[in-house]
Amino acid sequence: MPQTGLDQGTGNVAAAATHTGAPTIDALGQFVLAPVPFIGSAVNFTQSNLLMVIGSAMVLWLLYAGSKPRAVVPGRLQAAAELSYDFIYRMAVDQIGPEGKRYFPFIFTLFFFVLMGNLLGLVPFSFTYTSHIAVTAALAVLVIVIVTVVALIEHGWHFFSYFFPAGAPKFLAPLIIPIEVISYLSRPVSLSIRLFANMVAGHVMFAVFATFVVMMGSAGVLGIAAAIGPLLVNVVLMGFELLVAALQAYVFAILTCIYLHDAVHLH
Amino acid sequence: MRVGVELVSALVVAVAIGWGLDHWLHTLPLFLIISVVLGGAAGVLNVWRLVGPAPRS
Repeated sequence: MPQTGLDQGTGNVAAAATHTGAPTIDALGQFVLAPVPFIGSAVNFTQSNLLMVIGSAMVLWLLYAGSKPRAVVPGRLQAAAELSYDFIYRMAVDQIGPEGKRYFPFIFTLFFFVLMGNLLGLVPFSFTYTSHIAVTAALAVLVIVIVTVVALIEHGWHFFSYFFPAGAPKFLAPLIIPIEVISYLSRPVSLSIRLFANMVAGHVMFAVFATFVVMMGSAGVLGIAAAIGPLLVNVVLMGFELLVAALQAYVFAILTCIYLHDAVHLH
Repeated sequence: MRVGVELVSALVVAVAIGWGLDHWLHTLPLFLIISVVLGGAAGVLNVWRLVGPAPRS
């Protein structure tokens, strides 16, 4: 009796082992932070921070190497640097007005930090630091604090008239002011959730379809033939995610511009 | 996606404010109910600003 019990036990363990050995869909494991080896664990320097450093260094390098040649007819690197400068400069001036020049460095930094986070996250074995709400929320809070401070400096106490549109009937003030204040405070929330949700959704889809490939591939010849489907989906998805990465960085930057426009002009 | 985020984030902020006020003043359902209504209105306002006609200026 004990012998059979033992057999059954080992059989169960073996079955459990094969069960866990088979690929299961683990879509969220890719977002786990891990300290970088050798230097990371003492100061909680994770792969997310490492990617931030790499991304920032790449932008700095692009601007440095791009502005070094000073050619009249720019080469590829110089053209890239000039295009990125021009693109953000025009965005700032178009959206904010002539005052936008002052905020250009801020918007440029923000756009390229987010863009690098989104793009570097698409490199295999890399990590998307914009997929953490802590990062995007910190950026959004930075934006909203700067916007509010700019508005207070530009307009002083007059800034608070922003929460009550001119011409509205006075007796509606107790209704309009809380709604406007909530609307104003919801900006950082929507700003951070939009970026974070887009990045998480894209990478979860990558993980799910990649797991499909492995699961179907382990199911015999027919499965391998069928696994081409999700593989193709992932290839298409990569192109789509490149679009989303650039688009979300653009949305983040242009919304910052619109908020700065509101702060500078009040409406 | 954008519209949904705008709508929900206003509500999230409003509920946080309402619940915080209630927690502070010990009037639990009162401000929460008020702020849910105001938050819904603020969400609609956000969406209106997003998809509505551009403001004249």
